[in-house]
Amino acid sequence: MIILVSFVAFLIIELPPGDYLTVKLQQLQARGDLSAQQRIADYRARYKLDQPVLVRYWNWITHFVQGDFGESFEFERPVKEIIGQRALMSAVLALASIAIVWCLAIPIGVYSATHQYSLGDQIVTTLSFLGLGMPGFLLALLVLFFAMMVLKVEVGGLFSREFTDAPWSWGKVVDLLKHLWIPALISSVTGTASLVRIMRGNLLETLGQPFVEAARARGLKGSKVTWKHAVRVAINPLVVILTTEALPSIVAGDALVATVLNLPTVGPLFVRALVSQDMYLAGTVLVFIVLMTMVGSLIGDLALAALDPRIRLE
Amino acid sequence: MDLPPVEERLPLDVMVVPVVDSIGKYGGTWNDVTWYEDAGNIRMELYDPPVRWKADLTGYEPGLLIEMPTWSDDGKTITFKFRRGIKWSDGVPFTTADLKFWWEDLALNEDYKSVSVPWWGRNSDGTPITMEFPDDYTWVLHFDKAQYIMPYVLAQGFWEWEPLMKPAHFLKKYHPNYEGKKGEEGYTELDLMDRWFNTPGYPCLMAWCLKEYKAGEYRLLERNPYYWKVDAEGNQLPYIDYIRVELVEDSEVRLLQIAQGRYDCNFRYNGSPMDIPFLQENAEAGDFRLVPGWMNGAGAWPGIIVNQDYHTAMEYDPAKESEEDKEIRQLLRNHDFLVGLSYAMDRQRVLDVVWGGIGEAKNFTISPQSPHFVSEEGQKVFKEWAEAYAEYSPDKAKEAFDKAGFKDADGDGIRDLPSGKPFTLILQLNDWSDPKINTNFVEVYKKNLEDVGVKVLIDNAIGTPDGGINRDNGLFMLATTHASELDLWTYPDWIFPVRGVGEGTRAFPMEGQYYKTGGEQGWAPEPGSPAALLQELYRKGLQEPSEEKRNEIVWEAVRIYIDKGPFIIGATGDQPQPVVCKNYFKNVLEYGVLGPWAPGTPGNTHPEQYWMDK
Repeated sequence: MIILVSFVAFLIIELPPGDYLTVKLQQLQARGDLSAQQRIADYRARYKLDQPVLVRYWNWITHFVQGDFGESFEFERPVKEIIGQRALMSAVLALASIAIVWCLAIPIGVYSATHQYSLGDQIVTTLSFLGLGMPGFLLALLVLFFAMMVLKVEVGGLFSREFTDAPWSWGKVVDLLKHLWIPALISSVTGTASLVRIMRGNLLETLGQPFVEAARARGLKGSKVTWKHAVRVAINPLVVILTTEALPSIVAGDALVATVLNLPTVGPLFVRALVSQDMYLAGTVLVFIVLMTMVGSLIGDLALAALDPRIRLE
Repeated sequence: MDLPPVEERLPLDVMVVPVVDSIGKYGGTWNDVTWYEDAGNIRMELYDPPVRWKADLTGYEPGLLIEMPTWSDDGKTITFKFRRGIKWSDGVPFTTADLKFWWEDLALNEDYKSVSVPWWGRNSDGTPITMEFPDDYTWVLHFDKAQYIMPYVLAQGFWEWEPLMKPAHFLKKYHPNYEGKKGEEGYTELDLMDRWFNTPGYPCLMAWCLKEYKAGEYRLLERNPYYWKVDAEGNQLPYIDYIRVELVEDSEVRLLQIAQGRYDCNFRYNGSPMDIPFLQENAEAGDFRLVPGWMNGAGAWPGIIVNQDYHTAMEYDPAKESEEDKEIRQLLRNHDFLVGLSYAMDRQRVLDVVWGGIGEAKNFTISPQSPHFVSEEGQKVFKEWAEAYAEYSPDKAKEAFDKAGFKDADGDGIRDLPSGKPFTLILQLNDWSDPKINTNFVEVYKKNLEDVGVKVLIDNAIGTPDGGINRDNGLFMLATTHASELDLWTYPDWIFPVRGVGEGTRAFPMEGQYYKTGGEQGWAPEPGSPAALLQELYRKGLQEPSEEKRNEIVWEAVRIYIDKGPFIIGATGDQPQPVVCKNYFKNVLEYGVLGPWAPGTPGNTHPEQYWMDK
């Protein structure tokens, strides 16, 4: 599966006319580089772009399994080094935002379902539709503008200048937290909204089912009925979402928002590599996304089986 | 690291650099920003070639050289004399042995693919020229024909001299012919190390050399302790200790950060003249100023290239070409048609609508600041060129179109080809320089053309490589552009069609290809045609030792543009360019041109004498 996906991905990146060097050539020309043509010929030889696509794919994938992911054209550095630098931050950020989103979304969803059409539900619904409708990058720009022009704080990136290159210390952690609130806020607004809607919908459906009524009829406490009986059933789709969508996002999260916020994560790298046809970099990230999706599905299935006896029996 | 005293670090022939305002104080980190990995905008600040542009951009002066290069009487031999005693940033002497290493072990070495013979280093038959290195400071080049332009080529941008800046003692450690691993493996390692802008500790000759690099995030450059320039009081330059460059990819965020005063001084952030009002509003709060006198150098921004070599098939075969394509090409080459296109353009409206009044309405020229037009006579030529057919007159446009046979044959109100076939003018909208400007501009121009009976189709090529490929190969009718250049002898493209496919062709892509390949590819210009005349003038100029006379040749070429063209049509130009520096950032010259990169700006203004008063 991974091999198939990596091959198709390689081909698709190859499909548009030209290659990375066509893009590079235009960059060089744009600044008026008279030696552009020659420089491109040098690059072509260096990156062996004159060879047929199958040969290049084979070379790449055989090295890949040995842990050598090739060289990025744009950075002129090994892909491993570039992704390695950013992988940790990507994972931290993704996990943090997943944690925030889930801690917010489930209780809000439950509240909103159990208090259907109340004032609280209306407010939550309105907000979540706003969150759903507003693209993350737009929200990011608005928050940035607000933070810069009104709050007068430094934004962009995850660290202040003096901490970027510094070793880890208490000060650096505090600095990270100072910067982290913006990406966290944005991903919680956009991410929470959809989960709230799903949670609310599922729970409403479950709450109307006979076994819930039966539980109530047995005289169980309202909260116990909701949390122990209904939520446990209604949460199944969310588990699937968590494992199949959230896990891959650890690799290359919300690339657009990260680009706008200038975060040193893998997402923006991936987008840029796709645009500029930086084959090996894009291909490597893609393979990892697929890998995470597959692992995620597996974990999802196992988790569902653990949570829900009905699935286990089948 | 223990350094010897500064007197021992300075060369015998130091270069004394005049400061702009004041003798500076040492120290500090200059924070700066770039938008792409290659950080070309920062490399422009480190510009330090053997022959360099003067700070006022009126011509050239020696840099690493002790004097300007000298020519033999027949013009075929050029001698460069370097300053004595210059050292690399690690203290090892820089001599012509380094250039010899570059030439013999890298450029001429067939096994090493990453460095090859530069385009100016070839004879007219394509073989590499001969170089001699008679002593440590003398470098002699032998060409098979008189060559009066080559030394100035080294002064262009950062990309002409940088590939020659090879510290032999450092690279020999990796070179297979010396201490490196043998064979392919050795060359791969050499290639990885031989990137001065990515390899921390790579010895350099510039004021700052690379100390730290984190791909995709930042670069830190450190003061070169062996730098070979001093101020008038004998203090070694540069004043500033470090340059720290961040990569910020998103243009809106970059602009916001600049407006917030996050960077000490920035000349090129890929911004637009349209940012000026916003930056001005925030100048006081951000403690910065917009340095006056910095221009884009636009001769036309936006402008329109009219393809004189129009055709529709990548593999061009005259026998298979349709009559219609031939007729369209004849029309695009017709002087009256070109004049009509120019009169039809409402330049004042472009200025108001597209630019909010920034810049001036004028026809296409190269940069108004070009040294070719400094003299009184030159100014006259320039003025005539900028004003020719620049008036907005739909009536004159209609008249000119009629004269070209471009009339409405079938009475539907739309002009047809002289043969009576219906015709749609295709205008390529691309991202040359600034897609936003181009987009707004074609809206105005399309309306202008429709008002005089031309049917226009806009071919939107923004964000695709197609635009560039089609332009290079002459597969377009009209295309948007941004024109700026100071020296037409090193960068001939805007006027002289002497270069070909893949090199940023302009109005004569196929005829330029013919000149470049010596007649092997492309189309031979017809005798007496504009392309033939322009190529003849360029040949003449290369053989002309006198700068004065070379300028006169440029004026002759301009005459052809006026009398037979205009092959490129300009709407507006000469916009200022925002340069944002903190108020404590000193010694920044209040003059420069940032549109073309060839003049090495701001490196030509000696960034080593900038300092920070804080």
